[in-house]
Amino acid sequence: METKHKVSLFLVSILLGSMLTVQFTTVHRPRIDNKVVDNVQMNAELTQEKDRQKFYYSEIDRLEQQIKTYENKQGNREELVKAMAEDLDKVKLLAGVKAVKGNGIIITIEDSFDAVAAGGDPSKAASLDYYLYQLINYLNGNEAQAVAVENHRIVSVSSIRSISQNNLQVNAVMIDPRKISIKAVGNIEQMKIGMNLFPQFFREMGKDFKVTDVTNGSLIIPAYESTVDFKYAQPEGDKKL
Amino acid sequence: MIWIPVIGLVLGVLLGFSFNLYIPLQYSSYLSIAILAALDTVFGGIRASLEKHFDSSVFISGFFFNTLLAALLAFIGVQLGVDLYLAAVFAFGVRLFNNLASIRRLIVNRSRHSEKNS
Repeated sequence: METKHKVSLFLVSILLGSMLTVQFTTVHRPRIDNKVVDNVQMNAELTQEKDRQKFYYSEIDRLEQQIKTYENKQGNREELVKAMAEDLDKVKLLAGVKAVKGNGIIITIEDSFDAVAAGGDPSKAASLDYYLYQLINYLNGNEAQAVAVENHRIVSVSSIRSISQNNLQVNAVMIDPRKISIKAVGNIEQMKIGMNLFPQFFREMGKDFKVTDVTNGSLIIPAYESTVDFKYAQPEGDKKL
Repeated sequence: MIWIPVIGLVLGVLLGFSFNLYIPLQYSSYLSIAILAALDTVFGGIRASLEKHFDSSVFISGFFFNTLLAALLAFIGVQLGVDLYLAAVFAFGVRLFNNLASIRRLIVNRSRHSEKNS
């Protein structure tokens, strides 16, 4: 066999070996593209993270300011009490025990003959409480900052229960399930996007689902009025309620 | 003689691992078809050299032409939504086994001849 032939066979074999290795490495390489994230989603997450960072920075500034206020007003008892009352107001706002006002939406869910005629089944309304709670969950997840059902503020200890076909209980108060009004203060567009599937759910129960925008900042969400006896939950640490 | 491609293959594998090369995963199917074509060419070359009619220009051109053609066929198949790569797999697969069978027969015959002569 000529040397030329040997060299060509040798070189081609080297090339083949390299190709085999490249293929092997490619196939056995740990795949990082399992979670393909598109640009839109990534941008949205980035914006969200930036907003969150901004919020935390402002919160640090606020707390530093608060410390300074307390330090400056140590001598003046009246002003110290005033500053503490302002903080208490903020905490009340967060807890939902203070009425709030702003832009938002009013959702009206009521029995409708048209919805029944279109195939809605009123017997499905047995799970009305479940869908109402789901709706509130979606509103909260889409930038609602305060929600009330029939003017009963929804807070962390709130409950919605279907007692019977004609009785719905919100925060332990009976309301008429034939016509329910839900008020939500928050980002109107975002809340509407978040609940886009719900009109269909309620129509299937034979109910009409209407949404009215309130854009003049006059939508009032009342405060949570019941008292909560914290006999089971206590603050972490030595202090007791 | 049979050791030349084996040594080349081992050297190629070592080179490939030392450089840790890889291609995007979506192109790996084209490379696998190309490898099949390349294997067929190499075994064809070994057979031709055993049969004493090895032509290096036919061998080299066959290697690159078959490899590229197989990858191109697979690519066109993907674009058209037809599994055209199966044609390449079948054609090169059959040829590969034919070549292997011929190589085996040639080696066996040669060893018999050498036994008779001794």
